[in-house]
Amino acid sequence: MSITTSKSADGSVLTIRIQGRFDFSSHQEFRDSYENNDSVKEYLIDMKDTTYLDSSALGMLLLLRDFAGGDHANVSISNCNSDVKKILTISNFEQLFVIQ
Amino acid sequence: MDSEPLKILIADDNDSDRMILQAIVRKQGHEVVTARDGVDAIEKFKTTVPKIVLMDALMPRMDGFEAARLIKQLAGEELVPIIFLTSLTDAESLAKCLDAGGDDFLSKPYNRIILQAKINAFNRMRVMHRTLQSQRDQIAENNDHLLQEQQVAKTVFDNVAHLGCLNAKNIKHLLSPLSVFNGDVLLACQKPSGGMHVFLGDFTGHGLPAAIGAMPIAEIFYGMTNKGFAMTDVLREVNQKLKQILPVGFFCCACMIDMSFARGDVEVWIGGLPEAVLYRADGELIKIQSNHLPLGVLAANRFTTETYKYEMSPGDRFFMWSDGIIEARNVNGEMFGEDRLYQVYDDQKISSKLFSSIKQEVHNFIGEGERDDDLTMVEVEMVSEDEVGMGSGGHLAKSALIGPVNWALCYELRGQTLKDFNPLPLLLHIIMEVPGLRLFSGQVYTILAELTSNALEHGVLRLDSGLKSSPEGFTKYYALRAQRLEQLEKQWVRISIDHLPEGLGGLLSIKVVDSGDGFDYSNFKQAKMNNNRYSGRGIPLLTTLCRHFEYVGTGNTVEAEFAWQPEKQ
Amino acid sequence: MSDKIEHIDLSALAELKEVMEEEFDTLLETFLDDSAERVVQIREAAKEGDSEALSRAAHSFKGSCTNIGVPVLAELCKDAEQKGRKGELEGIDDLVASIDQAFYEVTKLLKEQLS
Repeated sequence: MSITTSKSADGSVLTIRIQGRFDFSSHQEFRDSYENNDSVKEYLIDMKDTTYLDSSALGMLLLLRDFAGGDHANVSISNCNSDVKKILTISNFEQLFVIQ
Repeated sequence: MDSEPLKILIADDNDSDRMILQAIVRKQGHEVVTARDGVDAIEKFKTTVPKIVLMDALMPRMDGFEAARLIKQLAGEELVPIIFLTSLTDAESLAKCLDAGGDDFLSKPYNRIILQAKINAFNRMRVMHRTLQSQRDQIAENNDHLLQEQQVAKTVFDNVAHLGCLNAKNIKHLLSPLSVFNGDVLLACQKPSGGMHVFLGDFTGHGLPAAIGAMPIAEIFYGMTNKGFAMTDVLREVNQKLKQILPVGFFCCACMIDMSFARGDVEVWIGGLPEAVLYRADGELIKIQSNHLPLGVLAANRFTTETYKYEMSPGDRFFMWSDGIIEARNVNGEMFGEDRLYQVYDDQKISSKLFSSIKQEVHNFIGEGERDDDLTMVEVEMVSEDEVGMGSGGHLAKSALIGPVNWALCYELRGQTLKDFNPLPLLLHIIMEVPGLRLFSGQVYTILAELTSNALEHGVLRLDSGLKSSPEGFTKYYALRAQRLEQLEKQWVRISIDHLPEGLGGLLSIKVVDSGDGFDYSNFKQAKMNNNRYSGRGIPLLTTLCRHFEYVGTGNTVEAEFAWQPEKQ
Repeated sequence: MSDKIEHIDLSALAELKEVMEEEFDTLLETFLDDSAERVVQIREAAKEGDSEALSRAAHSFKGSCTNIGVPVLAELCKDAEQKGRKGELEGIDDLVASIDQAFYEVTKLLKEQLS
């Protein structure tokens, strides 16, 4: 599991890339990836290389959403594989996130 | 010098050697106890409890090997380093020293610097050993403490989140004894009307945070269900409570059903759990997918309670599970998965054995894999009403207070309130203030529920109960119901309730009037038990329950009397 | 003079003196008393052909000789210990005589060290 981030040129879009299993062990790393980034207006979670997601990962996504402004948050999740997508769908996370 | 003063036992039969060693060790600041042979060494060890022993190998009476063995035994868990003093040099003799429990050797002539280094090194080891031991003891003690606390917590939890009616004949369930600490919740409760609420929840995370959240769920679930609240009301309350108390990122995936044995149907709310299954006696399998966010995520104003409704016949079964079933892993780390789960439905032709087959398949699959303490699953079977064994409200709390027995009330609901508000819990709450009536809460609830829903659905909404005679019509009925509820404006339903003492018991009179056009009830006295389970106004049932029951006026008014006497002791 | 250096190790004795301080004399006297006993034990064992007793006494004597710093005597004890252990007692009388002789020398030299 590793988490890498990159920012758009103007610093307004933060892309968080999650590789491997996304579970409770990533808790701190995931938080560190978005905290202390004041200029960011939009968050992109790239799950191209995410193999698995558990319920605590869902909780972490909710934390990010809360951090990013709750109901006004601009957070999208992209490139999910079918397993990951299924978990997001079961939990109806498309109601809270833009899932691409 | 980095060593604290230590008490050191020197055992040597040779006087000059012992003198030299004693002088060296004393010069290094330690306290010396001497012994002249093995027997003497054991005695001195017992009486003076030295920290380190310097032991000659060959001595009269008892040699150093035997003495070392005994000293190690006496020391027990304490590390007492034994350094053999020896001019022996052959490997066999040295090995013998180690076998006897020796920790090191010191050869003659004694070298002061080496001796000091060894004493210091062994003292560090001794201190480290002691620290480890005390930490181990501390951990063991903490662990005992924790287990004890968990036991208490579990007792409290079990009292709050008791199994309810999970042991009813029509329910099979699988729940780990320590489920409280893995965040799984399974609750079942009979409704006053005789139906059943079953709730399966799975909290994010494990341990205490998960267990804590389960408590308010159980409180709300049992409290509200006992009082006759609808499933959606219970869910709304649970969601609001969890949202309020849980930190962001913690939530509860859940599935809840309301099974009515009288109507032969089930209502399902599911959020975040793997799809539930309705498995009919004829082999049809219906998958019910989660269409809500888990509980505790959305604020009250965004929380929605759309439910699925299915009619069910006796022998149809409803299955719910936590993701522990589907995500159970075998030794190779593979997941059990939905395919294997549905394969069991294909393979097991006897539907009463499905539950145990699924359980067995999962256990077989896990094999020697990770422990299966995360598996929670429940099957609820549709049975005929009399098979459930209604407890006649016996599970409701009894009060010793003599409450109000002589009173009347009138409650009128208008317009959109008819759609948004369920008056039954409130009315039932008031009625149940009459202590003697609590034993009859099931009957009273049924009468009230039938009368008010007749008034709303047939009177105000003008729905034709004949529609419910087919599964398609059943769906259409509820669609129309929802549609017409939206259009309510000036319509009303007026409920008048009167209670009078009568003998040792009382007489409860209920009159329900609606703003509808009424209906032709002239044939109703001849109405016999209608074989069609979906239709009718529950009239045969009401006739059975009530001492007096009749429609009056245009048919928009109904009067019912329920007379009760205390049960014989 | 080379004999003297072989019989007692002066630097080892100096070190012992430093360690033992005022007990140095007592140590030497104790050593000499004990050693006289050991020599007798060795002689008796050799006479009786008790190889086990011989090896035990020689082993113990060797140890204290090493500690005090009398290398020649220690070396002779080692030979005696080995003979005893192997049970080969031929020529043991010559060896016992050498031990007697060496002990005589050591006694003389150590007494010179007494204050």
